Amino acid sequence: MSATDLPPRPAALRFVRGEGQYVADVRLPHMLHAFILRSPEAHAKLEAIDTDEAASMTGVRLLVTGTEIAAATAPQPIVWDLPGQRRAETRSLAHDRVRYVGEPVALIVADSERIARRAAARIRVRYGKLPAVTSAEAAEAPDSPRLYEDWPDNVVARANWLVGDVDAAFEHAAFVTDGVYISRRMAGLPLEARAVLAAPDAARNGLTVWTSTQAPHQVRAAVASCLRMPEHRVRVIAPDVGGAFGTKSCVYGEETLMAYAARKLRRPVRWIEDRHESFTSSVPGRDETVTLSLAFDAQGILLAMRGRVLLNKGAEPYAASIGSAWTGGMMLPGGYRVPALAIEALGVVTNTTPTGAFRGYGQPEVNFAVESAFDEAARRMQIDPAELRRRNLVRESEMPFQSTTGLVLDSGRYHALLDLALAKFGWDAARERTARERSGGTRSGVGLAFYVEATNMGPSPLCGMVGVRSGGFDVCQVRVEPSGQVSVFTGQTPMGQGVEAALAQLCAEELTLPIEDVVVIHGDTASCAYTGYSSGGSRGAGVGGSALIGAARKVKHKLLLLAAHLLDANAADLLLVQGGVQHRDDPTRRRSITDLAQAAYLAASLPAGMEAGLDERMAFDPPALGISYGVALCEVALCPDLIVRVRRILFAHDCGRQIRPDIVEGQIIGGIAQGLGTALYEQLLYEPDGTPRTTSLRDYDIPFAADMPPIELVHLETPSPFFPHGAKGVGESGVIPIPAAIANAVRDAQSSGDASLRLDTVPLIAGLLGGA
Amino acid sequence: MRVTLVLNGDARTLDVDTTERLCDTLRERLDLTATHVGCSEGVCGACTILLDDTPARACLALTVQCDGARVETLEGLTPADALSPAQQAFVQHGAVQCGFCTPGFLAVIEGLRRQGDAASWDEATLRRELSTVACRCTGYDGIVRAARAVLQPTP
Ligand code: FES
Ligand code: FES
Repeated sequence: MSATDLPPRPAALRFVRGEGQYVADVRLPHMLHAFILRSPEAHAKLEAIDTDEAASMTGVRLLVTGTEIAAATAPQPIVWDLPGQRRAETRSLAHDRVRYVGEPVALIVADSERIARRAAARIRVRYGKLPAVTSAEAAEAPDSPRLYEDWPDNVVARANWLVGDVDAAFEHAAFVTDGVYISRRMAGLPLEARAVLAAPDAARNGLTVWTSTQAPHQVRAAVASCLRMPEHRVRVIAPDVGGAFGTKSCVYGEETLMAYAARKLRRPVRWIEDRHESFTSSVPGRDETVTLSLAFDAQGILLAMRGRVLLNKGAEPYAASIGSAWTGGMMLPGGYRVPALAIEALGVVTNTTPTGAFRGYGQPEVNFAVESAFDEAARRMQIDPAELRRRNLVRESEMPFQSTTGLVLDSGRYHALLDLALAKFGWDAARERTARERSGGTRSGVGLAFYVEATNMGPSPLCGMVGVRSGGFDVCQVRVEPSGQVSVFTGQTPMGQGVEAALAQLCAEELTLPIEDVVVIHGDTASCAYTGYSSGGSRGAGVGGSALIGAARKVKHKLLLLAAHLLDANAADLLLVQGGVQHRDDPTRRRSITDLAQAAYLAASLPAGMEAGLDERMAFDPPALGISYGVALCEVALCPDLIVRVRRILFAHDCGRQIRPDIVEGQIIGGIAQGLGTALYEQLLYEPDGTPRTTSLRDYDIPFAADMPPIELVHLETPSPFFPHGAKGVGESGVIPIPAAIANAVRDAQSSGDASLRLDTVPLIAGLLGGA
Repeated sequence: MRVTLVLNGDARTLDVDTTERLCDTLRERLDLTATHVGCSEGVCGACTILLDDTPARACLALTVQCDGARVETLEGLTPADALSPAQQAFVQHGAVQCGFCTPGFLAVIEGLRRQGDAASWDEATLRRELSTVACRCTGYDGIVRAARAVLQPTP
């Protein structure tokens, strides 16, 4: 089915008419406007704050500082709590100390945003400067400035994986690679920045909070716990979300702050993050250094791996903690057989904006390391880089395969996909052609990278085992209305990817209804069932879709029983077809879903013991992760000024069954664009004293239409055995292998001897400009 | 200061501050929220509207500068109960994910359509002309396909 044959996404129909409703579009009567004064210092004692002048300005309604917040609220919750993890009582406003430029220092609420900003300019804060540390390497050193005086060092947490005799393997290896691979800090940069609107809700003696988030129930839990309110008095709504990419997956202090102000003022208060602000107030991602050694035997078989993933956590351990480093550690073996390994993952605090999730979540960082190392090994052994992968990838016959870090590779045809991709790309011919070009003086080359993506995030026991304080299940409710159409209530929160359309389609398929008869309701804790983890970890269609199928099948079961009763037939002889239940031998003995729904709600004649209504739910907890995989191949040319021109990309992948191929394609290509940014130019830089150098979109390059190379996609569909629809996630696939594939192609382009561009750091522009 | 805009075809006289930006007049004063603000510094193009038929950044324009001009937002480019060909193309070609950039692209494409010389552009030129608006979601392929369908229809 080509994209143009699919039923249109209802959300797209609204968006093209300009009828999306993002938080900044919500208008409430008597709404007030907030501005947050942020620290200009990277590390300082908060010695005094004078708010008198600001507070007395006309139009200023409320002025709050950290002292009040420290007394009136509980600390922001920790979502990922690894064994031994260090604590900090982080609150929504700093008190006694600031630890990064951009840390909230005071909240001003006024009749207009303009007045609030003017008032903020009149607040005088006296900072007592402290020495700052910005890089993870420096923060690890024993003599580093320390962020938390009650910690013995700057380490937030660490995790280790130790399997087999690694030292012996390295001793007997025929080839060993050693490298340090750096993925710099970058911004998720959803085009809609964050926004929060909180309003008192008299009916529940509580609050309603609109926020641009991926996780409404987590926000509810955070607001309730920080404000010491019970959860049932807080309602959180995520309306249309203008992109998220992980940036909006954690709870933020601004949600607590607006809720606090709305409750105190008994009026709606809104805060719209501005773009400058977002560069220091929204969590960035990456900022990891991966140290990796691989040991191979003479045949190119991998014997062992030594790895260390060091995450710059920024100033605070809260939110997702060192989750991206942990995920990176777990994913280091990727799709390869690694008999022995020693891996350490850790995160350290620095005087920079706290890092959080960004598309890929540790996986692009380790993929960059492993796939760069594989290429180096192939060069040393003088074999084709694709062949070296082939020798080490897990075989189809071995699936499901438990990888050395414990990850279960559920299903896949790694070799078949690799070979298909090489053929479609014309790998051998492209290698020869670029080699000829190089002898003619044009620096061109080809590169590839194989990846796996951990998707369908869940297994609650896995979450519990690693300290994620949130269940890994998803809940879906399918309600057939009395008129016979369906309302689906999902725990998933669309952020542009279109998961609601995939859910509508699955529901329509299960109940044999036209898709127009299904409405998907999401992003509201008052109507949608509790789902802790919500949307993130590429789980929307996989886990949310599985919950939907479970609930829809319960509805179907009830429809059959009810029809059996009404038709005076045996349920086993009935079939659900085209929106009705009919007898297998006599299609005229039939009741439409509408008839059955009416019967269910009138409840005048129900089978003995059947409850009235037609409304079922299911909590689906995935039995395992779904591991999507694929390979990116690319061809590049290096301009004389060392600017990398990507000539073309072929992306071959397998995410199990594709429920909506158009959504899959959109996720892959959108991911590739962000992979290109990761690989080439996106980076957030700091001065050594902790002053951010990137605080404007003018200083932060993202790909525009003209920057994208031609992209060819190759799809394979190997259903996952662990999900009723066979679907795995695909949200992060596009981004994962692109940095390594491009770096490997550039290395190939430089193979004629001129290695002028350093390739150990992405974005590659870092190797051009040098320095931090 | 008093200004008159021809807004989506209707003359509107407003009393605005001399420093008020056009995007704020549209969004906050007139509740025309189809015009989005992604950066407020002229880079992302989410706020693009048509000013006398030409795409312009509503976050950089001051409302007082637009006195007497024709201002068209996506609300004005949207037929009452149908989709315009460009809107249809966006839905069909996978040009929309989160929708935040969509109004900006639709304004740019409508500007190019009125200007009328896109029919012969090659892929690179078309992509260059579309590079005034950022999309963080789609990777642009769907948007370029939709733009081509509108600007270079195959008979
Ligand atoms: S908001 Fe105007 S260009 Fe970004
Ligand atoms: S669709 Fe989200 S920014 Fe373009």
